[in-house]
Formats: sequence, C-alpha cells, structure tokens
Amino acid sequence: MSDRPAAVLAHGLGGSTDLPIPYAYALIGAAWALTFTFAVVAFAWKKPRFDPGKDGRALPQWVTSVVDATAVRWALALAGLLFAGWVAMAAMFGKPENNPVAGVFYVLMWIGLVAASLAIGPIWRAVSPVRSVYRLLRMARMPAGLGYPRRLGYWPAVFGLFAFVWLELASPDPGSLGAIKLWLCAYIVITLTGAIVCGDRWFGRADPFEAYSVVASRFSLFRRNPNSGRIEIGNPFDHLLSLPVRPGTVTMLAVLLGSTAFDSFSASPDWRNFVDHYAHSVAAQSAMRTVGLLVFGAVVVTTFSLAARATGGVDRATKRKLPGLMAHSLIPIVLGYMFAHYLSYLVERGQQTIIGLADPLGHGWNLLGLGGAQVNYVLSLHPSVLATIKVCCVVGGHVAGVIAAHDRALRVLPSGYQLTGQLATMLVMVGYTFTGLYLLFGG
Amino acid sequence: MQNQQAPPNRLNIEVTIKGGNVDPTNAQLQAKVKEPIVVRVTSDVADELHVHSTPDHTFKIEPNKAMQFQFSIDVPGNVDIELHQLNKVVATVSVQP
Repeated sequence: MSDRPAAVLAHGLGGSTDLPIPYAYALIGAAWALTFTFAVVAFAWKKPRFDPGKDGRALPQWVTSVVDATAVRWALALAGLLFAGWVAMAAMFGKPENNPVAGVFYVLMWIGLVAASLAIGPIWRAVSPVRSVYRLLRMARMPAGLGYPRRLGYWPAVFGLFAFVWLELASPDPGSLGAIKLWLCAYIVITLTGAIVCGDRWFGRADPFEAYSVVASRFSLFRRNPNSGRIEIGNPFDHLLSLPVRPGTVTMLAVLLGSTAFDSFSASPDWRNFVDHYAHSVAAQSAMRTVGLLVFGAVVVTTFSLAARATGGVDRATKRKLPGLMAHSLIPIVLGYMFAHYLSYLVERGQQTIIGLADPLGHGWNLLGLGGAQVNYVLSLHPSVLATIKVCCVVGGHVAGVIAAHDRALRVLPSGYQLTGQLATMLVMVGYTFTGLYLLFGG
Repeated sequence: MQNQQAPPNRLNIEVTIKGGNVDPTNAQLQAKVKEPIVVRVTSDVADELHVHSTPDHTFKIEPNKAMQFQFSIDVPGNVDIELHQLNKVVATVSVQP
C-alpha cells in the first residue's frame, strides 16, 4: 500500500455515491416547498400554538421506571464501553484495508446517532463511553470539578463538530485509519479532561456527539414531561422549543447544515476542476476544502441571523436574541437534509460496517452469525425510490422548519410585525431548500 | 427486439498520463449497470487506478506500456475513477440501472 492520500475517497469509506436526483424531482420538490411556505405565512394560525410546557400523552409508568432504572443505565453504559472496546481492538490490531472503524466513525456515530436520537431520544448520554468512565471516576471519589463557564455555551461542541466534518470532508486523507485513531484519541482526552476540570456539564455542552444527539432528539415524538419527568409521547413541535438557547446554538446547527451542503458541492466537477487548477499539493487542496467548508457554515450563520433579525418593532437587545429564539426551526431542515444526503450511507454502509465488525481483525470470525452476510443495496438498486425519499425528506424538513418558525414568530414578534417580520426567515429557508435540492440534483 | 444482433454497449475511456498531466480529468460519463467499462491507459509513470464502485476495484498501472482494464458495475451510483498517486479524478461515471 502506498502512503499517498486518496483525495476523493467518499467520506473516507470508498465505494460509489448516490446518483443525482432527476431534474423533475428537484423542480417538483422546490415548487411544493415554495407553495407551502407562502401558504403558511398567509393562511396559517395567527395565535401561537406550540408550547414546550404542554403535556403530551403520558406512557405507562413502567416505561419511565425501566428507562430510569439504575440497572438499565449501567447495562447501557456497559454496552457502550464494550462496543468502544471492540472498536478500539479493530483500530489497534485490524488491517488498514476494509477496517470497520471508518464505518463506525463516519456512519454509525454520525448519521446513525441522529437516526437513533430522533427515534428514541438523546441516546448518546446513556451509552457514551467517556461519560461512563467519568461516572466510574466519580464513584472512586474524584471531586466534582469547578463548574462549566456559562459564557462558553455550545462553542466547544461547535469546534468538535467542525473537527469531525473537517476530517470527513476537508482533511488530506479522510479514509486513513491513523487519522481517525488520532481524532478519536484527541476526542477522548479532551472530553474526559474537560469533564474532570468542569464537571459533568461539560458532556452536554462540549461533547460534539452528545450535543448533536440532543439536537436531533428535540424533534422526537418521545420526550420527558418537563414537570413530572415522566416519559410521554407529544407533538414534536412542542418538543423543538425545548432546545436550549446558549452561545453557539445557531453556529452548531449551521455547521451541520453547511457541512452537508458542502459535501454535495465538493463532488461537483466544477469545484474539483477549480481545486485541481489552483492547488497543486495535498496540503493546498486540503486548505482549499477547509476554506470551502468554513464559507458554507458562515453563509448559513450569516443568512439565518440576519433574516431572524430583519423585523421592525423590537429594540436592539431583543433583536440580538432573535436568531437564538428562532434556532430550533433549523433542526427539521438540518435533519431532513442530512437524511436526504446520508440515508443510503446509513442503510448500506451501515450494514457493511456491522458485517465488518463481526470479523474486525480479518481472522474469519463470525460473531452473531454475521460474518457471511451480504450487504443488501436496496436503496441504490432503486434510484427513483431513493430520489423520492430524498425529496420528501428535504421538503418535509423544510415544511416543518417553516411551521416552527411561523409559530415562534407569532410568539416573539410584536403584533403588527408578525407577518412582515417572518418573511426574511421564510425566504432564507426557501433558499436553503432550493440550494439543497439543486445540490442533490447535481448542479 | 430489433437490436438482438447489435453488439452490447460499452463505455471506453482513454487515459493519457504524461509528465504529471492527466487527460481527461473530472470527466462526466454515463454507463449502465453490468455494461462493460474499458479503461485504456498510456502512462509514463507507475500509478494505481482506483475505481470507487461497490465493491471497489484497483488496477496497477505500469509505465510506458499500453494497458487495458475492463470491469462492470453491479450497483447503480456515481463511480469515481481516480489515479491514486497523482491524486486526480479521471472521470465520474453515472451508472444507471
């Protein structure tokens, strides 16, 4: 094997990428997104309906008891630690070719974590191996730490998430096992040290995976009643409003949306020709992709913040708060676009990764009888079904984002400015969705 | 059923590597699943041709020798054909079902 990096190993996993969606699909999706947006602004309810404090339909008490049982918590933590140990073994002793660690990292811990969090709630908190180690240290009478500086907000998680997407989309060799190992070691050291110094708040604010998992879980049907703590099924739009607004919240969502868009964009021949033309070394190419990634994130932050502030009738201090107050409406857009973009990865590369984990060292092991299993390329083999799902994800996410933003505008904007004040936000959301569909169509 | 006698379609890609320059780069091509794809390479350096299909293919390129590689692709998708050492994408083939 040579040590030269492979520039275009898609997400460090090799293999083919999705076919572009047909032009007509993109056009129909865009038309629906536009129509629906203006229908919401013009005809939807005029009094705010969603409320994070609203009670949902409580599930039987035993559900909460089981989820909160100490034994269940320890079992989940232990499962997380065992899985981490298994992956660490694959990372240290497995072969660099076809190693399942890249799949665990880029598929299971990225889009897989989003899918699980959206389905059942912030799962990373329960299985995070670093959190479990911290819990064990605390049991061994380690002191609680100095407390988390409030001003930092979500910024450490923003940097962590950026570091992740940088490795995946802009680093010289995303597929290199050494780079992934180094990233994971740095992640473990930073997360654990931060928690020892600042206490367990550090996990929720600084662990990129936990922050990400919490963000995705805010659009879940399941949640905890804020008063009784009981697990219930509720309207996800009520749940969205419980996203904590802290310094860095908008930027965190922008990193997620911008990086997914950059991923599509960087596969286009125009961008590749541009990079080939101006950057002649691997480092220069990586630097150019880094700039591209930063620009995509910055465009999302700037457009969203300016649009959220573009209203009359409020003073300057309130205006400054508006982007944070509207930030939750980006969650469905981020989720819709991520699923549109990474669904086939989750389904197909996910299978490949799990099959790979049955025999991580290439010794012919057959854990759980998975060793001989074949990947079912069900989505790739039916591109028109996949294209339909993608457009539905993008448009569905857009519609949900618009509904959430409309309702929030009714609550936070003064009367007389509620309609005009949300127009800019709606237009920016239409812009994101059109860009997303255009990128999926392949430009 | 009119085309029964016609030879099966195939995609031919001619690649020239000379003095560090690759022709073509970032080309956009179309193919069908299971259709033979033939890559002919003339190169003055050794390299590796990576075909990022599912599953991946790798071919060794030897210098100063006309070489021909043939493969077909079973799973639809966008397949990058890449020169590993030179770090260039020769072409992206849209493999349709």
